[in-house]
Amino acid sequence: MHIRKYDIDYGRRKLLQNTAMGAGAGVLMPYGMAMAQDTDVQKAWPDELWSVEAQTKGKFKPGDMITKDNVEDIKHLLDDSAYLQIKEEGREIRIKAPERDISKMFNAGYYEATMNNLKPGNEAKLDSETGNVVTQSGKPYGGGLPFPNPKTGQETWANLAMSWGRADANCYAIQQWDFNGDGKLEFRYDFQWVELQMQGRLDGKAYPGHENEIRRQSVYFASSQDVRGTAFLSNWPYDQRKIPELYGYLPQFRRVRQFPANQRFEPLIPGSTWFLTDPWGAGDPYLTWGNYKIIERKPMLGAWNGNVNIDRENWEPVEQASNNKFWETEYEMTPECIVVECEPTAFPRSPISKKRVYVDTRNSQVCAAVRYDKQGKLWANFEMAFAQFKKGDQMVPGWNGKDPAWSWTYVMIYDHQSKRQSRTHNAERGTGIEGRFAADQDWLYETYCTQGAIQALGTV
Amino acid sequence: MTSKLGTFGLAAALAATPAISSAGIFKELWDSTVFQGILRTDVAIRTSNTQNFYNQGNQPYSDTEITRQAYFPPAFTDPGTIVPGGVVDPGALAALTGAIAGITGQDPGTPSPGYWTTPIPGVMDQFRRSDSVPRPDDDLNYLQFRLEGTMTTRFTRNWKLDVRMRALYDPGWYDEFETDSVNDIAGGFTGGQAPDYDVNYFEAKGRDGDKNLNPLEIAGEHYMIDLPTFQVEYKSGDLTLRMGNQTIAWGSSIFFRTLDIPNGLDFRRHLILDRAIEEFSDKRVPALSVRATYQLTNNILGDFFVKKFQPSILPNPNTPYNVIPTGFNKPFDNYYEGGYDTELDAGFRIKADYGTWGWQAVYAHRYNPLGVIRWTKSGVNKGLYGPVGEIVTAAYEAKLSPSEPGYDALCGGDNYSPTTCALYDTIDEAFANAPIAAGPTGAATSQDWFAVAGGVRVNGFEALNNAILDFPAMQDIYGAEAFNLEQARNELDTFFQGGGPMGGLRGNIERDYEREDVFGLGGSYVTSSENTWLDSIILNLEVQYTPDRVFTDPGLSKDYLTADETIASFVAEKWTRWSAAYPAAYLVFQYQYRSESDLVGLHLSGYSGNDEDGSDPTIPDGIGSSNYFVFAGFQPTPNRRFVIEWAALYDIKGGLLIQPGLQYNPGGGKVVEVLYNYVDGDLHGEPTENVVRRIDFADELVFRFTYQF
Repeated sequence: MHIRKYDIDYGRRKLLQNTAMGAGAGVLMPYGMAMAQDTDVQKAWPDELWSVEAQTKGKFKPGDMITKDNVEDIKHLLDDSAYLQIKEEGREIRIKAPERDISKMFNAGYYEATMNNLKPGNEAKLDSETGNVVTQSGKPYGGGLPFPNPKTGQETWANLAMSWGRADANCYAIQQWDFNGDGKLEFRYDFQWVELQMQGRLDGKAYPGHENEIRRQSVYFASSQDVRGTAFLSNWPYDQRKIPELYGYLPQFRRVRQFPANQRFEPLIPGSTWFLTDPWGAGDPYLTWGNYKIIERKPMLGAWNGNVNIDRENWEPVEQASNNKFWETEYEMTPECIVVECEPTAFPRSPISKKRVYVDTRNSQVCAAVRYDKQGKLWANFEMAFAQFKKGDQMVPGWNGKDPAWSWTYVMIYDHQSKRQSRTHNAERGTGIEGRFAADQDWLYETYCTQGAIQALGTV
Repeated sequence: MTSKLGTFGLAAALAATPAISSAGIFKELWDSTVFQGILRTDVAIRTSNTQNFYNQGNQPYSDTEITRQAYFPPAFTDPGTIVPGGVVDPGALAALTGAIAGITGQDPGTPSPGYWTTPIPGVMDQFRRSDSVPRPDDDLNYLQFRLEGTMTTRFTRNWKLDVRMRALYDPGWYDEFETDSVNDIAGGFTGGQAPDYDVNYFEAKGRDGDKNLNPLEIAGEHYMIDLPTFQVEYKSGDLTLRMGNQTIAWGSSIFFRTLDIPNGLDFRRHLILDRAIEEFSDKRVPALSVRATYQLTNNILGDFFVKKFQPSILPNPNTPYNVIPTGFNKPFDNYYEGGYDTELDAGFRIKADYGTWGWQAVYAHRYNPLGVIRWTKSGVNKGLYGPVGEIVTAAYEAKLSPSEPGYDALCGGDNYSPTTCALYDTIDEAFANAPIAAGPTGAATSQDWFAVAGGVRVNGFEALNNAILDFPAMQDIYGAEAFNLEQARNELDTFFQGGGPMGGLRGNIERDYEREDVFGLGGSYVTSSENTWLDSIILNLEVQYTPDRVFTDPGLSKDYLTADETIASFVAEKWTRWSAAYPAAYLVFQYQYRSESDLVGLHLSGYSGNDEDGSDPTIPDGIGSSNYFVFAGFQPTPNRRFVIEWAALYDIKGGLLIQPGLQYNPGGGKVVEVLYNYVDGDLHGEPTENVVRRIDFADELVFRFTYQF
């Protein structure tokens, strides 16, 4: 138990001070130091920053539900988008107790790689010339968080972008429901999303023959019928100044064709509210965005950890009874959230003026990634929830087939201007597809990550 | 959405099979099988006064009364020009003049010399096609219902089965041509490939009329069911092997098939007038194939195929988008009789991409799926009708026939003369060996002959002469080569009267296939520029070279045309945002150059003939090359609920096809599409010098309603 040495607002004041000074995370001690010492990182922050009771003057406690009737009392702990969803749409969010064991907030292998770098002080750096993430000796960075205690907006974004799924290979089966503004279900899709790290891998070695790439990523639509067989492949250069090459197989063409790389702001399928720029809060190479700035560091609620549904059929979350646009969700406190903004500087015709992401310092992972239109108006929020895939005595094996998987559990992309919602979840399976956390990487490469592969996946 | 409904038949079949009766295997198969499908209605509403001018009732001069004057054949006026030293046989001449006198009541006497220019006194008539075949007045160009289902069963990580079934029904709710209405004219319909002459929307069979060209197809007059995909796939490592009925698409050009050479096209259904953005996904003719795709390196993809040769399929006579004038019988397709059904095509494509640039190379040893067409024997034992029929028959019967004594001595070798010697025992038999035969609704006047010929890029003058010179039977029935247009017109009008007062002559053609080696190269480059208009443009250049490509001779000669052909296309694609509110629009600009043929593969030497007016015939002298531009694209609205589409094809010789469209995605598995086909084949220049003119009847409003399940 911690002795309260400071007044109730000390933590917030110190976070403001840290933000102004460009310091890293942590109030009582630097977060990196706490992380290196123990999986229980609570000693980096005073208790009041972990406590929803303290931050709401006792009005809320874990187990309570945030509703449109009480949201004004907790608005300061929510991002703008979540607040408006609750207020205007009647979304409801249950509060849970915060996780203090950060090893449960990472893929186990990724956590190990992060610690292996952190303890001897092998942090990455941003190359002074290119801005890319490199080792101190200037080589491509290996696995693990490059900046466990990010001090700048660009470092924060690099943490998001260098390894999306925090594993060498991820193969998600995703189910998506698209609702119109009135809450009517219009579209229903199943698709496979595959990420295969070429660099930034857990063993520190590049995937053979792909030393100049950071990842290959593909998306394959399995249903509905009109989009079945549509597949896109993105080859991401390691150099984050370069926009990924994009190849696509469209059913009407029956062959793979090249697509311009700058098509990052278009809905791939009818009804969908997300674009390629959205996933993981950092869907584009981080050096194609610029003017990074940390807006603030503050305690916040978010879906940082929880929302595990592996005990349910196909891992499908429960629909909110009063408004089916939303899943039933739970948020928990993070003692320090980094709020970062940046602008799409490499995309002069982008419809987006800026993105604001809310990143949990504990694992440098995003919950809310909010984009704003050209007029600066709130447009959409790519809200992600994360969890270790373990519930009671049930466990889904992760990257090595032994440790529990850690991944995202749901994503909801709410469009504030049209009130449309794309509601997805990380599924065990979909139409002819299945999720794999421990897939054979060569098989993933051959099956999803080449032009020949998406040709084979395509409609015949 | 995915459906497991409707699969109980499969379940029962599997359960009944001892080898796989285990519930575990069945459940595994069931769990690994995906079913999906669509129901779709396509309807095209005619918006122009013009209707398909290749179909009965809409042909040029349908409503015009035309005088047909008969002329003495040169065998009776200028025999020496036909056979060296030839003379008029008195007996034959007597039979001829006697018959004329019997019909006209006046003795014509001995005809004066005049090569196809000496009229037969009193033997003339007036013909108007609409007297026997009224002009239809269709509101609809097209109405079809479609059920399409796909099934994918994954047996193991390496093996899977893909099946796509397509079922179409056309109720024929058009102002159809009624064959029964003309069956009392000139002996009715006879000959040709079709077993009957009712409008048949789908059946595509070989010459014998027994077997479908597509082996995995069941079809009737109003329906077809086929399996565009029925393939087993084996995937291991970088190799994907597909075996079964399938289609293969190559190349980077859209719509222009510069390097898209593996499969022919199925022009039944909506010809090329479906949504342009769908390209040929529903039109490539599937073939039993083995296809191996191999990722040779990280950047290079290899694609190899061996397939059973399958030809392109042409619309049937009198169907809404028929392209062969119905004065011809349905072409005899020699796919089976010629042994082409056992032939194989093979080819490979190497495609390399290096980010901003790439290249591709293709080669195929194949049969050209379009095939080549020429005159062929009618096989119809049927003589002529009307006054001309009686006259010609009388003269023919006066000739010495092969079964008569002394024939070999009097008619053998150099002794043969077309005025004294018959090649066959009866004139009916002679016509069976000629490419034309009497019938209703055929070519009936020289005007419509030249107008129709020019319309389909056939050289009407050469077609007449080739029909005569390539077939001794034609000379046997007094056909003689025409040396100028006046002679041709007179000869045609004489022959056409042989169909009787209401009839004409129906042509018979056959289709064969020729092998060729196709070579192709392509390069791609993606631009990078500070100027957003010039940035991220995907450029593709593709060139096809085919030495000794064989083309249909515009004169329908038995000797096909052979020429080296170069086809090149340039494509520039860009996605651009006009505003922040709307997703990027897709824009594509394309140009294609073809040195020998038009967009559909017809040789350019048949271009520049007569258009709708055949009263002043011209002999086509062709055009040097064909050149086409395409500008197409689409603009989605936010969330892609609506997609505005457009496509324009411009033939620099004066043809324009514009297709604006709108796709609406209301959700719930429904899609509504509406598009308009605007066709102008007479924008400038000579109409018969552009390809668009051939479909210059198809102004139409198209609706498509789709429900997915």
